Amino acid sequence: MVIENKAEVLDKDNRYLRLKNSQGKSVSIVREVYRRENIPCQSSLCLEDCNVGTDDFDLLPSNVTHYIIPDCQVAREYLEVFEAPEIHGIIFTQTAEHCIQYEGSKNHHNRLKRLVKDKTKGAVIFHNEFQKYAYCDRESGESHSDWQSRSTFKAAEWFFNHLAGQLPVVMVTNNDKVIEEYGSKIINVHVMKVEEYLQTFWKQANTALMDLYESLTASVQSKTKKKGYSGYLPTDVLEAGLKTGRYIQGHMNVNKSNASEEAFVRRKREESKEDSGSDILIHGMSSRNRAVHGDVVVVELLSRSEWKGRSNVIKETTESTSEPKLSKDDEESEDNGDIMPTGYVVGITQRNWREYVATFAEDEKTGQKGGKVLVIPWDYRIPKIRISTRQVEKLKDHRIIVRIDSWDIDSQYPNGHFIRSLGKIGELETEISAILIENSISVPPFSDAQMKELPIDTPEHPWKIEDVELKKRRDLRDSHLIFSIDPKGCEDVDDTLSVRHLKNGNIELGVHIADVTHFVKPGFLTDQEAKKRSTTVYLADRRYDMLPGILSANLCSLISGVDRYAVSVIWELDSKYEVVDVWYGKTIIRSQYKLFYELAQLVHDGASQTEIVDNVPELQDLSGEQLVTKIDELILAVNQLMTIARHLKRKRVRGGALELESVEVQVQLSETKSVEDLTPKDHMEIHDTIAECMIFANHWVAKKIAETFSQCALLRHHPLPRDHQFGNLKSCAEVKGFSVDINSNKTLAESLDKCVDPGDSIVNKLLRTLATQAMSNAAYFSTGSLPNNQFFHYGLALDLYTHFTSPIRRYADVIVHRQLMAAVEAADKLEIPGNKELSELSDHINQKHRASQYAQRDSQELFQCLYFKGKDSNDDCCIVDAVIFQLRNNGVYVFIPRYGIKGPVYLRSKDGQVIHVQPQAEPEWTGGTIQRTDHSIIVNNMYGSQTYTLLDHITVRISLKDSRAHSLSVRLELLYNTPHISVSQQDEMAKKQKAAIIKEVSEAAEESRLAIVSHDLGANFDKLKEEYGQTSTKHSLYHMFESFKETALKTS
Amino acid sequence: MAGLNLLSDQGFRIDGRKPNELRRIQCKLGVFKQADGSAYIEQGNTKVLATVYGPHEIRGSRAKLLLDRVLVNCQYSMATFSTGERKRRPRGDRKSQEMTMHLKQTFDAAIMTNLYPRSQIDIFVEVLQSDGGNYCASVNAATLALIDAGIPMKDFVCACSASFVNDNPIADINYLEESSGGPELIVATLPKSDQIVFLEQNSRLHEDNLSKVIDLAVKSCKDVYTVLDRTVRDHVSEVSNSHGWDH
Repeated sequence: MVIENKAEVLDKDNRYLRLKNSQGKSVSIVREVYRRENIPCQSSLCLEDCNVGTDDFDLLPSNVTHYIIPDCQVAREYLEVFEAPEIHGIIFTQTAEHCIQYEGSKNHHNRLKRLVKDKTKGAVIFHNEFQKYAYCDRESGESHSDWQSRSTFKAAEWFFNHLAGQLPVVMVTNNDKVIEEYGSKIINVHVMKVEEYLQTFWKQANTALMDLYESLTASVQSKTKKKGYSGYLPTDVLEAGLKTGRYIQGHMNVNKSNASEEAFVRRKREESKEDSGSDILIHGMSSRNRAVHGDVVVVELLSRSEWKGRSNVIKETTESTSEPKLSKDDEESEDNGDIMPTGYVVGITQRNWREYVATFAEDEKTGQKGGKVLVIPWDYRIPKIRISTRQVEKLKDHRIIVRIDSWDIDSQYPNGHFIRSLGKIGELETEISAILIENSISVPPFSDAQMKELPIDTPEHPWKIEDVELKKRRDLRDSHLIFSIDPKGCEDVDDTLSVRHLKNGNIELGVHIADVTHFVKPGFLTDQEAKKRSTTVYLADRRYDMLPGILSANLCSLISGVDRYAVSVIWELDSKYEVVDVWYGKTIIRSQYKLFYELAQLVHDGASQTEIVDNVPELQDLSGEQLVTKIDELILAVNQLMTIARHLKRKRVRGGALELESVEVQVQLSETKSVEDLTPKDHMEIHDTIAECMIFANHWVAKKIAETFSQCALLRHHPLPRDHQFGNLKSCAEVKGFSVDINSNKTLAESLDKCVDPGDSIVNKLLRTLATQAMSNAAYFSTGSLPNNQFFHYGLALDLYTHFTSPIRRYADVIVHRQLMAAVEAADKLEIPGNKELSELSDHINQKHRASQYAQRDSQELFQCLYFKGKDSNDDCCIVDAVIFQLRNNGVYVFIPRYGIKGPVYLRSKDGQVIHVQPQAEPEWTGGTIQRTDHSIIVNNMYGSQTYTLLDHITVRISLKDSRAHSLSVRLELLYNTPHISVSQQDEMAKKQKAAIIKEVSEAAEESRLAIVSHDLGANFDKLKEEYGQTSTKHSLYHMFESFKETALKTS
Repeated sequence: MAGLNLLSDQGFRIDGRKPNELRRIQCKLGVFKQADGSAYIEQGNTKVLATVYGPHEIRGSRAKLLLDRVLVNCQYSMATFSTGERKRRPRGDRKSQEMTMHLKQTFDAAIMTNLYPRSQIDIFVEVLQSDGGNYCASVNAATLALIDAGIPMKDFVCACSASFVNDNPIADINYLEESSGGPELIVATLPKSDQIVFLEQNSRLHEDNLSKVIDLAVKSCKDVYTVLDRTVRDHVSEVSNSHGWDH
């Protein structure tokens, strides 16, 4: 008697799969497999209802000419070909996935998963082994690979029949026998080779694909035997070793300025709890054993007698630094500092290879066709990569993207392949895209499909508040005086404020944030794209938005005088400014005033009526009594707000909040993308006021979501700094006789406040900068992934913190908005990602944030260098004052307040000569010695001795160090050991100077760019650019971001 | 096993099931004539034979005699050939002793014990092939055997296991899923009255997820119940037909 276990699933099949599994002994085990008829085919062409009940029923697009089914071998070796954006409609069989999973690396499998997850790609995994009719049994005597190809073909056949022949199916293989056997079996189920396939279908579309294929083939084929490096230990040995503590696992970090010799392995966090937590030095290329910067490696420590210290010499980075040196330096013992644990790599857990920007060496021979060429990566930390390409001649002056495929044991360099070219070296666009690629930032223009999801707001079809929403939301339009304070000319206002007195004598403070989540629902393409980007990226001359312009600058922007959706946090505060009650929820608001910082400060300081009216467009139509009441109302609100913020801040500072400094330049760009001017960063109290209100809102939202979602709330924490990071700060402070107490954030804040040299305003600033550097980075996390005692925010001295106030610019805020709404409205809980998903997401966001910061820094450096490019080395702007903040054995690191540049100044040249400076003349290089003490460096030579102490002012000359393969950098040379001009003078000039730099460079670039582009697009260019131009400058956003960063630096 | 993907992104488990699906259940009542009741059950590849003797007088030591209710005596054992590796499994090993205890507790709660004071019911369970969920199959088999023996019970006792993988609860886990180190929750219920008579959990599972897993396990027990119930009805009608009784 046979009974089906569930009435609704009658088509279950129960066959047995016999596997041989060897774990020491060979054991035969039986596993059951259930097959069914209704495996979702995931195609939008499906005629049967096999996709009902699955959420992704139309992953395979219908607008392709054919579907591709790669066989196991092709899927494993040529996965990258399928990653090309133009290839859609790929079906990976379960058989192929298993093959990749068991025979390929974990990284490889993850890439496949990512490819399938990417909904724009139209790639799916089809569970052919679970489908009753697509499956075939392995026959006795049939080899595994034969069975794999037969299964794949069967799946292809099934797919073709399932879709009733609507689309041809192409099975791609590299096995001639398979083509012979199945090639002509069924019409329109084609079987062909990868090469043939690419040539037939993608010839016109993309020659780069062909190139990619060729270099992949070359890297698959090139396998020769010759020993160079030692092999890696097998995985089980590594795992056992890690468990017993014999080996240590961590991330490989190559020292940027000494890439050929020094690398450090940062231990994984879990281990550092017990251990000292210090990094492990990997000295030399042979002990690094083919590990590349960023890989997760397993190292074994050397015996204590072989430990080395890290180099204390400033190394000059030249094009040859990536040359692996296997020999040791004689002098090194002299130049090295304290010895530290040293080890060598015995295995690699995970390769984190990404795409690298690289350049051909200048003297590259172009003789052989398709020969191997070494390219020099842009990143100093990456070794040269050997690629094979036939386009050396064509790409000689270009920056290209390459990817590493493998690093054979016998090879001095890793093998890779060419992907595409970025453009000519030295062009602004090339350099900018190099910066983006190097930081893994991808910013394609927003797609049409994405725009279709979004509401429309044109003069013909103006966007209106929907009635449904009107009923659901609390209406604050008439009851509250709401206003925003932002930098002048800001377009995307994501926060507004309100304050009023309640009848019971309490005060009501409200923070109203743009309701982005109303427009961007989970699962929308816009949401996916925003998640991918995670943040708006600001470069020195442009920005890449996270959300399309219709949202960021219009519908989500809380501009004055229009109705907008908002998410509000409203507190009731008693007379001592303690929170009595708090309300969270969706609202409709109409901001009454859009103020800017300077004006708001003016209002507070007591501006005259005419001054206010002149600057507030909203008031200009009014007159008489009405005007007076309106102004009084506004003044009252602003004053009230500042009083509240003052109290909130005082409370937080008492708790130990830090005020840190970082040198940032604030640039003001004009409509036509040139730097107009730079307002000196006047720090006004109103800045603090707004920042404080935002911190307050973030804090309370964090409280709410952490309470509701104890396991999956997205918060932001700032861990304790590591003590040893403060070494440099301490020694700098000691020079001036200050002491820095780092026991807690409170003592640190207090001791930093005391470090003021009345004669030198830079000192405090510099010390705060050093303190900022010593901090750990603040990061997002999911509450389920960390113990409760690590939730705190060190810098802000808060127990819980998150980001809630800028959903237009940061994806984390979007998630937090959703969580807050789910917490408050008790609906939509299903859409909240679980802990695992959320911690993956927070890692992703953290990574993207860091990348965007790096990209911004890189772009600023780029502009800096371009500025110095045309300058004469004795030009007035190249000779500047600098402050010493760190000592090395052959030089010092200085900080240039005027440009905010930090860099090394050499006191001893590479050939051992030391510098002697003399007033009114060029310095002279002579033989001599250098002596280093705790706080100073003494240079001895025949003229006498000169001393350089920490925090001394010296005069340096800035010149440009030209580089072909790497980013441009500036070189600093010592001129005099006396201050250049008075410090206060420079301080003021600094900002203006920086503006001049960017202005000049970007103007030049803009001109040349316009000249090219407008030629193509004709007279409409400006209009087109406005409509489609992703990076077109809405200048004010940038400005706003700068000020936000300022607050962020204080808050994080 | 590294990289074992217990639940694919498309929602299929290693053996092709969806998270909430049971393995195929095949069962049969009255497989032996000598015993008072007997049953055979297959849940996927887990195969269990159960026999019931009694109620009868106390055998062996009379000290175990209970004045107010029947003594339920269980014995669980695994055949030497039940796993991939042939292994001698003595009756009294700790694992079977524990399982025996669990079975006894479960059926003490389900049998109307007060109907037969001073007597004894023996339940013998033999696992012929093991592929995860041994306890569940044993309970289900013993229930059928008790019904076959005509012993009054409050309700069927149905058992099912569940686990939690990638934020998804999965029902009726097989050996591979059991041994991957995830949590395992075993529930035996009285499906009609929605009462839990036995609950056991191995390995760690976060409190927040517990209710999801229990809910699925309890629901799966109900699914098991529908299968068992149908078997019993079919069996009864078959027997009555063969005896030529009218309905």
